[in-house]
Parts: sequence; structure tokens; C-alpha cells
Amino acid sequence: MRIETILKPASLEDAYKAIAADKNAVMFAGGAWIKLTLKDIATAVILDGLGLERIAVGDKTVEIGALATLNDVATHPVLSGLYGGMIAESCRRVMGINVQNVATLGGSVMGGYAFSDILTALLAADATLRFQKHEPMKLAEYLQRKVNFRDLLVAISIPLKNGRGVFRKIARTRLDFAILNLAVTNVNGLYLIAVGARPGVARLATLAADRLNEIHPVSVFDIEKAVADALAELDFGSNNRAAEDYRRALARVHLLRALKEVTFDDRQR
Amino acid sequence: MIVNVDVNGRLRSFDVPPGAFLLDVLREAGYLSIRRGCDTTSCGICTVLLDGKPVPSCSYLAIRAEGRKVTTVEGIPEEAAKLARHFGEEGADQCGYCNPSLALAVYALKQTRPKATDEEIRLWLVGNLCRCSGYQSQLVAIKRYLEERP
Amino acid sequence: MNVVNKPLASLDGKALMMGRPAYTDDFAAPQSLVVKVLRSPHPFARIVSIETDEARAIKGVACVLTHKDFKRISFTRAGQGYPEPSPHDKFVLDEYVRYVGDEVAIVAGVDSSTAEAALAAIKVKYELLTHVLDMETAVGNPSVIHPEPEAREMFPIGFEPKKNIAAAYKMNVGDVDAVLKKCDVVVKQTYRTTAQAHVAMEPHAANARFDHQNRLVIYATTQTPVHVRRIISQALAYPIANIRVIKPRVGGGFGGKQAIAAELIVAAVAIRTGLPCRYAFTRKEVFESSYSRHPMNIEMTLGAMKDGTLKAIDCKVLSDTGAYGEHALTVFMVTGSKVLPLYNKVEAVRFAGTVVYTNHTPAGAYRGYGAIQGNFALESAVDELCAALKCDPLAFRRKNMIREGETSPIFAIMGEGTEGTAMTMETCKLPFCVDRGADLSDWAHNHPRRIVAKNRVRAVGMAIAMQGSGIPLIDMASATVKLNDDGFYNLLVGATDIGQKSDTILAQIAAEALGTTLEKIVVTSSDTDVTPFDTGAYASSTTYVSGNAVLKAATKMKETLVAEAAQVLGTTRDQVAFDGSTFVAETGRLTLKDLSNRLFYNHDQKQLSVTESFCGHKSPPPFMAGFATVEVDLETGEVDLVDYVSVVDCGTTINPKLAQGQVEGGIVQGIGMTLFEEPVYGKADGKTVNSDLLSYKIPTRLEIRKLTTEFAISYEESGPYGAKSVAEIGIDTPPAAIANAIYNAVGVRVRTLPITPEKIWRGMQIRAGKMEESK
Repeated sequence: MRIETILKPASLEDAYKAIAADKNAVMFAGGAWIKLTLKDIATAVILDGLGLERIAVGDKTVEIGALATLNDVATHPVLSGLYGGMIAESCRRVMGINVQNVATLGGSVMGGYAFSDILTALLAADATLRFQKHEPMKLAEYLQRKVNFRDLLVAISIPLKNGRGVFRKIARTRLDFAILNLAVTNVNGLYLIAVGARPGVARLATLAADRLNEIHPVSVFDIEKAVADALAELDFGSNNRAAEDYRRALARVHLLRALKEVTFDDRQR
Repeated sequence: MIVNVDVNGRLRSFDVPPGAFLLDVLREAGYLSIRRGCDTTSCGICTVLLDGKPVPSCSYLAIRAEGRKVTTVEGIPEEAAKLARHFGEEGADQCGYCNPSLALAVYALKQTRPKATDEEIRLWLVGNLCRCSGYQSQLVAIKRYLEERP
Repeated sequence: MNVVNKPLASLDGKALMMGRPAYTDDFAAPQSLVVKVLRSPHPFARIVSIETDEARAIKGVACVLTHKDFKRISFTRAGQGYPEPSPHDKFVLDEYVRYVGDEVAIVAGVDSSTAEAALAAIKVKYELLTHVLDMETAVGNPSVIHPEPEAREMFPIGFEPKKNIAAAYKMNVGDVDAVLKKCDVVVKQTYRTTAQAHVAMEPHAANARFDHQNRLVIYATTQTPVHVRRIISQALAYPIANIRVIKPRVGGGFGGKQAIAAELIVAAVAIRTGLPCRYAFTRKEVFESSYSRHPMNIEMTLGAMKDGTLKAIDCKVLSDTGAYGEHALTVFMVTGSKVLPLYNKVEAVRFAGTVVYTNHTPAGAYRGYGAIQGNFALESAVDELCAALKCDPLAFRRKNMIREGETSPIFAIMGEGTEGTAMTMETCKLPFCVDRGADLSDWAHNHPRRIVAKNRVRAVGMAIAMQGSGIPLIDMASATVKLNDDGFYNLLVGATDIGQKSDTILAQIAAEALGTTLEKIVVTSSDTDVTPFDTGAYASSTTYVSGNAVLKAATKMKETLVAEAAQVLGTTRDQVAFDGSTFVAETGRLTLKDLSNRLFYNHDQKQLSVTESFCGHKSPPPFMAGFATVEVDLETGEVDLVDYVSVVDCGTTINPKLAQGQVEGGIVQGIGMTLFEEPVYGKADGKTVNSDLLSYKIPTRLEIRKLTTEFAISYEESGPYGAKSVAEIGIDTPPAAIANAIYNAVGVRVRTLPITPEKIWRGMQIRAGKMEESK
């Protein structure tokens, strides 16, 4: 692969202009799989030095700069503990430490890979995307958007809530892509359930979570029902990694286990 | 484009095409310890330390290293020799192709987590593949190296 | 013993860890042309036209070569002794392309981007031909993959190219059909294995230049330097005396570097341009365009009596060699010859099969070739038979397996591509291996299964295996021991260290024989201008065959030294004692250092140098028992391999730690083949889809939880210091042992590799009556 021109904009605004002016310009987030995904590039925009790697902890949210690496996130004192380490775990499950040192959260979001582990965890953490021009948008909405838009992702904003969370990745080896991944959170009885690599891109099981959210306290029976609801509302398919029925079976078992884990104490499970 | 990099404590200036990757630039400059394994950041062979952190140089644009510190195994000869002694004692070295990159990754682990458990060692090095050893003898050797105190 | 059987550090480990230039691409000449290859996008096609003018006109392009630039000489890239048991069915470049990734054209440019531009500028018109991807339909298919008249066999190997048959063979002892009829229980099943990739960490590479004598000097990632030299000479009609092949350090081979890959291509470019050039495969090229393991379908029939006596084995093999026939016959024969003798007490045994051409990436040698496929079939079938007989698998094996002092008629009948060699098992510690492995894996407690948590069972399964130690009467090795002033030695060997650390163990053998230490032995391997002949690193031959050559040479050197010392000391040689550093006689003492310096500088000056050769007349098999402990999730079929126990009889371990490394490295490759590794082919074109390490998965540090490796006490009289081979034996047992463990865990028998959680889950659904068995 060849790169003709490299731009190193001096400000976020310049970076935005560079990518707005040229619809083929490629933003450089981490470059982990660059040789796999790209052929020749006319213009590459390097986003280093713009402060996008910062992680800022506020009162209600934590703002993760788009260029924060997966390792930055996994080792961050606040993020590594949030939702029982769910987000950190999703970062740790992407390749090895050397890739985690270059791959970025923003790259994972903008890549929008169907196999992404990060997107699944971020969905369950109710993440919001902040852009240079566009209004902030919930990640869930962004992933399902009908109209594409070209903008510079500045940060991923995650509400600081005290809740339980679990991330699970089912893969053949530690370095493999997911056959299926899932993340669930429970914040005082309010659930989010995300399933990715079905093999489609990560989605929230909204109906299942909404029904669960109306029940207090939640029983094993309610959780079993929620799993059935989630399996009904989410689409599953086949590819080289697994057939649809096996993915459903994995989702059924692992969602049940994950929901129990965020709902009950050890003894109750 | 000119890129200025501190390689193993020496300031170097490289004239590179815009799309040049760190691996190719360093090998071209004679740092032959860094080698190509896969080109898709999947094997760990091309690992260098960038400001002390292991990164895959095969896919890291050289110009992004501007002003940063790059360490290859040529920059940590004493640590590499120490690790080699433990590898030798355990028979953990076979073809050796992955060993310079492994030495860098293990050295970085020692800086970050000198008392790493077996599981932490495995996790830290999971992106460094080896097809020869079966991994177990390497784990023992790496533990011995980490336990070694200066 | 002072040096042998000691866990000494390898000779090159430290320098390699420190990053010294050592591998092929590190030695490319400055300003080398960058070579790249245009590869076929089609599984089977004829090149109608190929236009290269535009590519040649690009500034910096030094040459563009197509099939029109080569004499039409058929050869095999297999990298075997001569004449080869592989068909001569390959041309450097051909007007036919036979798989996605086959060579179409070679370009060389001043740099990588120039070479890439040249590739892009070549215009090829293809006539698409009907491809054959399914090995089951290859024989007699109207589409013939090798219609060319030049394709030929060197001696009868069952080659029938018009039927897409690369090789065929059959043999039998006794009347299998009649014996099977008498049996109380007969088990018949088909087992399928896949085209595993070697994934040596160093991709194939070669570089070439002309030296100060105008000789062609090639550095290459090869296991077989002398074969490379010969094949380049044959294929390019270039004088062999003008070729020098140097094998520097090699980043893993496992058989994948036995056959030729980049060597011919750089040779052709260097000869054409006169300029130095380099070619390194991309990882994608390694996957698509080097070699794989031969995928096989093996139908195994076993017959036994109620008392657990095995009476007959019938083994039918269909093997897919892909587009070219490298190792077609030999790999397939080993499926019988290094597997079936495990149960030598049967009344009748039959082995037959066919190796077919398809339009897949060619198969070639891969560690444990043939044996791992055959072992998966036989050792799975034995456990299926045990289940039918309600017999303990350990008891069954103890009753029926081969033992020390015994033989099998198969040894005499089947060799590798030729007749075999009769031999008796002078060492076979299988009974110990089985007993010790059962203890180490806590068989009594874990067999067949126990529940360890809700929805989670633990189970153990096992398999036994054998290998060989070189190919008798074919593999030849030689070694030169040269004395230097001050009393240290050069050991020159053609034996090819490809990372298995053979330089180290050969130096240990030499040091032991000379009574000296490792520091006094300087090893050089392998350089066809410098080191003596050795067929190369394959067939588990180095420790046994090359090791014996080294032992002979070092022993003779010691005798020579004693004779020289006797002369100096004015006595006869039988009056001289030599401990490796000092000669002692009643007439006086003399150090080796003084003798050496005297011989070089002072009196009766001469160089002492000894060259000896060894060619085995038998191939003593190493044996092992492998025990896999697995935990299976009863709801999802997910498997964790908890421990893999190996108890190995490889005779004396020349270096116990390095031998352990050979076993464990093999075990983990075997685990990879069993559980993870699965080449995926495009349905339409047979293209290798997962041609990168993101999607082709080898085991990582996290899948390998525990390996327990022990060696039986064993001494093979015919081996150097009692050694047999150890390079391949480790890879053979994991497929069957793990399949057996999974059966013991959940009652699901998976007969098609890899054994995925999905297959196990599906099996559990079928057993529970929730799903129908698919055809």
C-alpha cells in the first residue's frame, strides 16, 4: 500500500476541514490493521498532537478522547473499575498488548467492525459520541443510523454510574475475532443488554431490557424471559466462524449467565 | 518527509516516503533485530518499544514517531542477555526469530509489572506468537528473569 | 557422560536474543533488487497472452520474466534425495496456472514500490478451465490438472496424471476380509483432516548475488541446502558447480521449508540480470503459495474379538496433494508405515489409497507428515472399538501394542516411496509411557469423566504414537571435525539447524566423543561450499543420522589425536590415555594445546581433519503416549485443554531441555491442528480465504495451560549415545487423544478436524434428540 500525502493538522478545526474537504481522506486513528483493510491512500490525516488522547473524568461522565488507546482505557483508574471492569475487559480482549497500545477507542467506533468487542461494551455502558461538528449522538443510534455523515469524532462520553457489568467474548483463541460477544449492565435495576458479532455489528436488545426494567425485584424466571426476548429481537446469522443456530445457543447460555451475574450475589446464582 | 526519532538513545533523522512504516525504516537503517512476521499486527515479531511501550512497527507510520523514543533490542543488550540466560537454561529458545521482540515485550513488562503472575505474563505476551516452543518453557524462563533483582 | 544428556544452553540463543543479524533477509546484498511475483487469481487457467512491455518500461524495473523466458524443464520442488519419489510436474513458470496463488510472472525492481508498479502493469489474458476442488471427485474428473506431456515419475509411484492421480499404493499382510468376518466386533469409520499451515514465524525468503568468482551465492530459508542447489541447477539448466547455497539461521521450518519456494525465483532473476536481488514472501504468500499439510480422508476398519484382541486393520486413504505432487506418495505411505505397526499382533492388515491432484494450494512436508493423519484415524478408531467392546482403552493398548524385541511385517514392506527395511524394536518403552502417563494425568480419577462444576465436566483421553529416525538407506549425513591451533575444533555439518537447535546437540555429541567441552566446538551449518553433504533436516533424521556421522567423525578424530600424541611421546597409541585435554603415557605427558600448536607450527606440520558419513540401515522409532485432560461446557461445547501429558521414549535425550522443547513444540502444533487451525477455501475458486494470522489461528500462550513432559529411560544401541529422534513424535497424538477426551467428556465423537465447540455442541444436541444428524 502507498500513501501519497500526509496532513498533520494543527487544530481540531483544521482536521475537520481536511476530512470535510476530501471525502477520500483517511483519518489515522491507530493503524492496527491498516495493511489488511486499505489499499492505496491519496491523503492520510494524522490526528496526533491535538489532545485527542486525553481521558477526562467529570462529575457525571468520563470523556474518552477518540485517540485514547485501548491500553489507556484498560489501565485508567476510573475506567478500569467502571461496571466491574467491563469496558477495560473488552479492550483487553482485542489482540495483545502491542495492538492495545496503538489501537484507539475512536478507531474502534469509527471502524464500526461487526466483530468489534469494544462497541458491544460501549453500548452496554450507554456511550455517547461527541463530534467536531455534528450534535452528540448515542452510540446505539450512530450504529443504526440511516444517513451517513462525515465528521471528526472527538470523544466518547460514558455516564459515570454505579452499576454492575459483565463483558463476554466467545472466540476460538485469545487472539481470534469473536464468534459472539455480549455485554450487560445493571444500574439499580435498569439493564442494558448488548450483543455483537452475531455476526452483524453490535446491537442493544432494547425490548428485552425495557421489560426487565419494569420488574422489581428480578427473578431467575424474569431473566430467562429476558434472554428469550433478546434472542427474539436480535438477528443472528452464519459465517465462517459459526452457524446461526450455534450463535443463538451461545447467546442463550452466556446472556443468561451474564444477567445472573449482574443481578444476583454469588450465593443466589 | 524528515522524521526525527531517538533510537536507542541516539537521535536519528530519516528521510522517508509519507507512507513508510517504522519497521521498514528501521530495518533499512540497519536495525536488523526487528523483523517481519505477518504485516497484520497479529504476531508480535515486529514489536519495538515506543516511549517504553510495545507497539507493532509493521503498521506504525514512521512519521508518527516524530520526537519519540524508539527502543529496539540493540538498545537493551544487558537485559536481552539476562533473559537469554534464562531461556538457555530452560531450553525455551528455538528458532529465535521472535526472541528480540519477545525480549522487548518482557522488558516492558518488567518496567510495568515486575511482580507479574503467570496469568499476567501470558496476557501481556499473548500477542507475541511462538510456533516452536509450546510456550511453557518460555513462561518459566520469563518468570526467572522477572524474579532476578539487580 | 559429561556433555551429552545435559541441559546445556544452546550455542546461538544469546546472540539471537540480542538481535544479531542472522536470518536470510538480514544478509541480502546492499542495493538488492526487490523481487515480487504476479500470482494467479484463478484456480485453473491457461495463459492465453501475457503483455509485459509496459511493465518493462517502468523506470527502475530490472526484469520481468514469464513462462516464455524459461526452457520447458519439468522438475519437483519437493526437496528430496535423487531420484525423487515425487512426480516432476512443475515448471519454473508455466502457461498453465493450477491454483489461486500459482506463479504467473516474476518482476524485479529497484525498490518495493517499483516492483509493485511492474506487477500492476502486466496484462494477462486467461482461458479459464474447469477446476477441481473436491478430492472425492478428482479421480477420473474430465478436467485434467496435469495434461502436459513433460509431467513424469522418476520411478513407479502410481502416477496417472490423466486421472488426476499423483501417486497410489497398496499392500496387505494376510487376508483382511476373511479375518474381519471372524471378528466379534468390527468398527468402521471415516476420519478427515485438514490442510494445516506450518506458520513458521519467519516467512520464506531468499536472496542472491554473484560473488568475486562470479559464482551464484544464494542465502535461503531452507531445510535442504544440497537439494536446493541440485534443483536450481536442474530447473534453470545452470551449472551446479557455480551455485553456492547458504542456510543462515532459519526462523522455523516444520517441513514447510523442505521444498523450494523463493530460491529458484531469486536465482532466475540474478542469472538474468547479473544483479543482487531479494525476495521475501508476504505472510499471505506463505499461506496461499507455499505448502500445507496434505488433507486426508481416512477410512479405518478395525476388527477384534470379545476378549479385546485386535485381529485386523484395514486403512484406506484419500489424500489431496493440491496442484503439485510434492511429497504426494511419501506422506501418504507414512500414514500407514509409521502408524499401523503400533498394533503389530494383528493377523491381517491392509493399506491402500490414492493421492489426487486438485486446484488447491499444494501440500508438502509438514512435521509428523502422514503419521498425524493416520494416528488420528487409528487411535480414534481404537477408542471407538474399546467403547464397542466395553474395554478400558489402556488395557486394550497394553494387550495389543508393539513391544520391545518385537517387529511388524510392515517395516519390511513399506518405506517412504520405496520398499521398507525389516527391523526389530531394540528399544520400545511404550508400556512405561502408558503407565506413567496414566499416573501423571490422574487417569484413575479423571477417566472417563467427572463433574467439576455446574455444566462442566473434566475428562481424560489418550493415544499412543510412533515415528522414525531418518529414512534408512536413503538419508545420508556427514560431518567434518577439524583441529585448530590451541586445541579447539571446528565441526562442519551439512545438517540443517532450522531452529531445532541441532547445531547445539551435534556439538554436544562431538564434545562428548572428544572428551572436551562445548566451548571448544565451533559449529558451522550449512553452506554447500563449506560443509559436507547432508540430505537435510527432515524425516526426524538429524539427531540419529547426522548425530551418528558426528559421533563417527569425532571418535576418529580422537583416535587420530592419540596416534599423533603417541608419536610425540615415543610410544604406541594403546599406551596413551587421553581425557580430552591431556595425553598421558608412561613416557610422558602432553596437552592437546601443545600437541595442536606443535602440529601447526613446529614439527611434522599438518592439518588434522576427519570427515565421516552415516547412512542408517534402520530407522528406530521413538514412541510416546499422550494424555489430554479437557474440560467441556455441557451447554455450549466450549473446550479448555487443562493439561497435556507426554511421556516419550526417544532413547537418550542428547539435551533434555531441548528435547523437551521439541516435544512440547510438536504437542502445541498438534493441539492447534486439533482444536483451532482450519484453512477456509473460497467455495467458487478454492482460494485460501484465511491467509493471514488474524483469521488463521494458531494456539496462543493463553490456550496452553499446562504441558507435562517426561522421558522414559531408554538407550538405543544404534543411535549416538543411545539417542533416537524427537522432532516429530510430539505432534502425532493430540488429535486422537483430544478427540478421545472429548468423547469421554460428553459422548460426542468428532471425526473431522478441527474439533470445534460448535461440532461438539451439535453432537450433544443430536445425542439429546434435539437435532437430526446431517448427512
